[in-house]
Parts: sequence; C-alpha cells; structure tokens
Amino acid sequence: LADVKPWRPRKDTELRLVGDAQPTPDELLALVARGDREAFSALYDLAVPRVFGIARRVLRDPAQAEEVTQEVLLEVWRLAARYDGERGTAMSWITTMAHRRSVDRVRSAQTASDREHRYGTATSTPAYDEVSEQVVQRWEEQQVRRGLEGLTELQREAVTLAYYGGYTYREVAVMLDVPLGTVKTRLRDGLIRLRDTLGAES
Amino acid sequence: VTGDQHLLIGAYATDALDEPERDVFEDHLADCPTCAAELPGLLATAATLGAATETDPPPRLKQDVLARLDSVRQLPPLVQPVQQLSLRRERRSMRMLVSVAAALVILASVGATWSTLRFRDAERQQQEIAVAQQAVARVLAAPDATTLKPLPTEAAWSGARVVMSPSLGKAVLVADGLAEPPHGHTYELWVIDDSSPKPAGTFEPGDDAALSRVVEGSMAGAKVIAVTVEPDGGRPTPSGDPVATFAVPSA
Repeated sequence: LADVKPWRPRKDTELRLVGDAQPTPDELLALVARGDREAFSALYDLAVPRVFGIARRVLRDPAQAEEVTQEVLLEVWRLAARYDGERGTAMSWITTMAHRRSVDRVRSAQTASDREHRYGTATSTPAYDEVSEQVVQRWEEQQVRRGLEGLTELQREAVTLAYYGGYTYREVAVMLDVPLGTVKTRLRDGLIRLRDTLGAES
Repeated sequence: VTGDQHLLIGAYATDALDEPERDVFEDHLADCPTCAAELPGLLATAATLGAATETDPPPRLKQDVLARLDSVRQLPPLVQPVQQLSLRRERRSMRMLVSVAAALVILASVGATWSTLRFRDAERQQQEIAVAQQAVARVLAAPDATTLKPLPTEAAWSGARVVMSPSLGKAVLVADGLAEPPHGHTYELWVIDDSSPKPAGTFEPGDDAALSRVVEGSMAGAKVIAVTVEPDGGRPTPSGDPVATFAVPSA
C-alpha cells in the first residue's frame, strides 16, 4: 500500500470518453466501478435530473430531496462494482435506488401525524394530476402520460399513489377504500400493462 | 401465504411494501424463477415512471457530491462472495429446516401406507420403505436443497413442491391432498432436458393423500420436472399434457 498512486484512467478509457460518441450510462458505470471520476461526473449529469426529480416528487421538500440525491449518487459511486447488468440497465438501477431511498426516507422521517396531514391534504390522484399539469415536452413524459391514460382508473390511482406518492399498498388500500388484495392485483396488472405500452425502455 | 407472494411483485416494484414484507418477498424472489424473471421488466417500467419526473437540482449539488467522493470507499465487485454464500446458506438452511420438518411429518404419516411401493413380502416392503424414506430425507436435508413451486396449475397441484439438491443430483416430489388418478391410471414423473422426456417413476397418492416421491433417474441437465396421468404401470413417453410442471433453475 506504500506506493499507492493517484488513480489515472487507463488509455483506452480516456479514449472512450473523448470524441463525439456519448458513452452510455452502462459504459460510464463500468468505468465508475474502477474509480473513474471523470466518468462519474458524466454519469452524474445524465442521472441526477431523474434522481432529484423522483426525490422531489416523493419527498416534496426540496432540501430533503437534495440530501437524498446526494446520498443516492454517493451510493452509485460506492456500489458501482456491484451493479449487475443482467438485472436491468444502469439507469434503471440508479432510478430504482433513488426511488427506494426516497420512499425509505419519507417513511422513516415522517411521524404518523405528518402522514395524516399529508393524507388529509392529498386528493385522490395527486401525483397523476401533477404529471398531467406539467408541460409535457419530453418523450418519456409523453410516454408515461399515455401509458397512465391507458390504465383503468383504479390501476392508475394505485400505481401513482404507490410510485409517485411513496405510499405502501396498505395505505393505498385505505386511501382508495378497496380491499388489500385488490390493490396488490391492480399494482401488478397496472404495471404489466404499463410495461407492455411503454416497452419498458430505460 | 406463499401463493400470495407472486401477487406482491407489483407492490415490490413500486416500493409499496413495508420493510418486513419486502424482506419476505425478497426471500420468495430467491426461490421463485417466475417472479425473478418478471421483476426486471417491472422495475424498468417503474423506472420509466421515474423518468417522467426529471428535474434539475441546484448546480452546487454536483460540487458537494464530487467533494465527498474521497470519503466514500468503493465496494469491490462480488468476486469471492464467500461470506455472502455462507450467510445465504444459513438463511436457506433455516428455511429448509422448516420444509424438512414439514416433510418429516408427511413422511411419518406416509410411513406404513407408502403407496408407491408395492411388494408382496411385508418385510421386504418395510425395508424398501425405509430405503426410500432415507433417500427422501437425504435430499430434503441436503444443504443445497431448493424448493421449486409448480408453474400455475389446477388448485389440487398448486401446493405440490419439488425439493431438489443439485449436489446429490436428486429431487423429491412432496405433495398433499392430491386426487386419485382416474381408475386404471397412475401419475408418472418426467425429467425433461433438451431431448425427450425421461420417465422418472410412477406414484399414486394413497389413502391419506400425503406423498413424497423420489424423482428417479439423473437430474443432470434437467430443465423441467413434470407430472402426467398415464395408464397403470406408466408409459415410456408422456401421452398427455402435464398436470404439474416445475421449472428447474439453471445452475
């Protein structure tokens, strides 16, 4: 360990990061796994809008969303070598992590009364309304909007409350006043239908 | 309870499970090829939902994150997951203990009514039963024993399990509450690899309908274990659709 030197990207990786062809998130993540900061910086730029977007949507509070965003990106750095491409794309991996973290934060940080308050102020489909209100310019947003519109009302409500709201399916069942089994089923068949319309890219 | 777990995959993919339920589902995931195969697509779909929220954070955030990289040690890849394996095995063996206990109860009840073996000589029959029970017990107690559930099937078969041990190259069918096959017929096991199905023994549920039956023959290269209804005595090739099908996870 005496002769540890500052890590330098290898020649081939340097070559891959210059030039016009944008490296994909998967390629960048492979470099990040070897401690490549330049690759991390590029991956940050690609991934951070999504990580922050999810954290904001679930947590609402911008300061907390920033904290979670930092945590998630540092986790990407820490766990890059553990990423398993067999189980999804790098973006999907990072997005899943961002959502999981946001949801865990919202559940642990919020007291029961906070939740009641949130619940009390929530309309039946808060997240979906917001999705609809947004100026839809980006392809993903259009796709998602179209996908959600293709669901039954109950599927859409269950999926938006669970994913965008960060509520457990047990909470969703109470909020929508339907049996637990119904929420389980709607989350599953709703997602499957979305998968089939969205083509499950990224 | 376990049948329910399949349904929870949507709640799992949208992070709508409480932590304890999440753990239970992840255990299920480790043993359920169907769910394991379905999950990546659903996670990717959930990720697409996330993509619709993209929002730029304040630019200063990047400097904060980059400044903190130095204080975070990167984990190595999982090249020698020795510890993980042993942990996993402990968890698995706990679960196996439960299945073994359940199977031993079944074995005890099967005991004298071991209906798949028919011998005139009572003593020899006893011996054969003991040998068969030992073979079953060995598979169930193997450290690498894995429990396979049937692919969706009629209710009577949905509780059936195949417990297999890759290291022993053996598998056991464990079932309870099976209906008798039609008169003049028997159930027949099949081991299916890339070529034609190989007969792996016949059986009938017997009086108390509880059963554990060693799947005969080699499990090498087995992709599927199936059960069909065949005329008494069994057939060299299956004559109809399986009543139960178990997908063998690739090693």
